Amino acid sequence: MKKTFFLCLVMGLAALGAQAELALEVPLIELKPKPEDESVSTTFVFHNNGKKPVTVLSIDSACSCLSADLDKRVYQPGEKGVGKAEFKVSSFTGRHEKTVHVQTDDPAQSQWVIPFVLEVPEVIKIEPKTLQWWVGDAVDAKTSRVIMTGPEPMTIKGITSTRENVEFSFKEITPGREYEITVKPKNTSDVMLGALKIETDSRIPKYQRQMAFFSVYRKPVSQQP
Amino acid sequence: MMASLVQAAVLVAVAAAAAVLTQQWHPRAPALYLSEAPLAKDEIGLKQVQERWQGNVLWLDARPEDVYQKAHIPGAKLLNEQKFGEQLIELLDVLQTTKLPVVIYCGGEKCEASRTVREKLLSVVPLEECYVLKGGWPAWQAAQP
Repeated sequence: MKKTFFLCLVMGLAALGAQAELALEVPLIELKPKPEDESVSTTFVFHNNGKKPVTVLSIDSACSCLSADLDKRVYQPGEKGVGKAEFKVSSFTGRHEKTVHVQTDDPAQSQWVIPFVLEVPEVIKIEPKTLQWWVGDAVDAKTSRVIMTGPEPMTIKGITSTRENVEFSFKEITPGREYEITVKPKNTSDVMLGALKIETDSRIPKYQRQMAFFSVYRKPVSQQP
Repeated sequence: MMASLVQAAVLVAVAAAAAVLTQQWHPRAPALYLSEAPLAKDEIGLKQVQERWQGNVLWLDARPEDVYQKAHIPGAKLLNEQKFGEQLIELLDVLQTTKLPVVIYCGGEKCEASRTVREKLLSVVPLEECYVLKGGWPAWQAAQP
């Protein structure tokens, strides 16, 4: 009887300790595409630090821009694994934190979250990106700054508006580096949402057309006094 | 016979003790029971969409264009992170005139795209009612007869 009890106790404690665990060699995976890159790929190394084999059931990405795959389905205790990840840059700029979720058969780690940091260099900065008026506001002109933050200068070739009931103009502040866009709605009596299409002479096609927005909108109840 | 029963009882007790210890102290112990997680402030469930607006909302699909083209919620417009600016321009007329609440969905529970799209959309159009659909596209599919 005592022997049975002890055996059960040891087995129970052993079960508690025998946790499988997939873990990266680094805290997170960084992807740093160049401004002209359409996509960027990387490989990453991980280990099964647990004491049980782990079977990968599925891999889901939190973003359709990021895909990942692992080299095997089952990882033995202590085994090293290699994963591949691809990030499709499209119109992303700046820093983005994304995750890939690996579902496993291990109840102690049913989901292994792989963190990624994507740093896409910003070559054009528009501040603010949206010029906003509330319905009924004074019809004042507002300005946006377009700053060419990349290594190469860029010139604004022209701007068009999707709406006719605004006046707009742009001027060069620093040649190839900084521009100022001024927008003034003809009235603020009605809701109006529009965009300015900014054409540049960038050698990178995706930066040849940028967008800024303007809106005359109803003030949300939550922001009313 | 009695000894066997006692031994069985001891086995059950030890297993239960191990389970309780795991539940109490294991850092990743699962919940003892399944319960529906409460809605976040920016989320809405399909049930609420029906109850509050009888399903009459402006659906925005934040998934990639290829999966949107295969299937989407009837009437949903495409607005994703990848081509946000270009797609938003196409939607400005609709957003300018609609008085419907906006509900954005993406590929599933783990997808963050609908939340990202919501933040970007609100920075341009300060909509009064704009939500992320809890459970995303799979939740919609599961609710279809």
